[in-house]
Amino acid sequence: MYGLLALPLLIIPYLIRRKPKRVIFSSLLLLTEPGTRAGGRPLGKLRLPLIFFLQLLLLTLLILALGEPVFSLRASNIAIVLDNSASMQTLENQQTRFALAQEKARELLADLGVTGKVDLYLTAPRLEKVRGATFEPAEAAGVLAALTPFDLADAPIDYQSSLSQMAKERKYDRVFLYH
Amino acid sequence: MELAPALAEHLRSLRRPGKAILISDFLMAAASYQQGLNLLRAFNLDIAVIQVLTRQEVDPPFSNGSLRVVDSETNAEIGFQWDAAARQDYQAKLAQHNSQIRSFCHQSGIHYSLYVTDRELDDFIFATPARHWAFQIDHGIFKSRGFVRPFGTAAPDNSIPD
Repeated sequence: MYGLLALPLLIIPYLIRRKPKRVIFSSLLLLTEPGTRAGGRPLGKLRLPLIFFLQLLLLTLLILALGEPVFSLRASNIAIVLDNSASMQTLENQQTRFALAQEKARELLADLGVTGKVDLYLTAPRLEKVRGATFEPAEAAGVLAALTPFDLADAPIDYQSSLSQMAKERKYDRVFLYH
Repeated sequence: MELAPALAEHLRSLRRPGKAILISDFLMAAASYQQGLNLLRAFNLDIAVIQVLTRQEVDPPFSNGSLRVVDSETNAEIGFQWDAAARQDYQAKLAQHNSQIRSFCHQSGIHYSLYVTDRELDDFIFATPARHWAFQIDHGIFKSRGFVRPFGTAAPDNSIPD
């Protein structure tokens, strides 16, 4: 998007005036009377042709396209479902899967606006809302840090249908599952 | 050179009244050509004026943009921004200028006609009333070139052709 700052440079070629063409004519009588406009002045009125505006539009669109814009609607009411079963204690790169999931969830909370509402869920011993409350993002981050994995396998859950139903019933904008 | 002084040189040798045909582009100030024509009138001449313009003078073939236009006679030079509006402005001024010449000639009893050089010369001659010419029309160069026509058979056409 910083490329947009370069757009004014487009006008430079139009500011550099070409040397006026010299033509011989039979009389200047009708070219010099009042009402005619003298040209060739270095700081004369800048006349921008239509092609300039087309170039400007094209360049703007090109820069915007290079910026790879995406249309996104920031979710304000979300649910984070954290798998806290025993399998999440497995080490990956010297960190447990649970710790990695917490880290991802924290990143998500950091991107959420301050007006966002977060519900936290754990999957073991059963799919359950943490503290039965809804949190603000900062508060949710604190609660998230205090969560620990459970030494039991999680209950067999059909995540697709359960989470879809949850999203529908609680009217979540999005539901994030970390497992 | 100014029109009046140029004519005065020739008029010095004039001994009796007659016919005068003045052929010019008349791209000069009104005061200048009026002074010259009045000088001819003062010599009691039957005056015919033929204004000759090229197509380039009627519709200058300048390309759009900044120009330095040089007067071919005086070498005076001006800067000019040429575009569609300037072209229109020039042509309006030329039309007004020609109208002033025609009007002055009409008021002064001078025969006026305008010839744009991309027009066929035959057409112009035949369309111009015979009283404009210097000679009895059944003699001289017109007869030799086959231009002879009965008096007043064609209407004058002094408009600038497109």
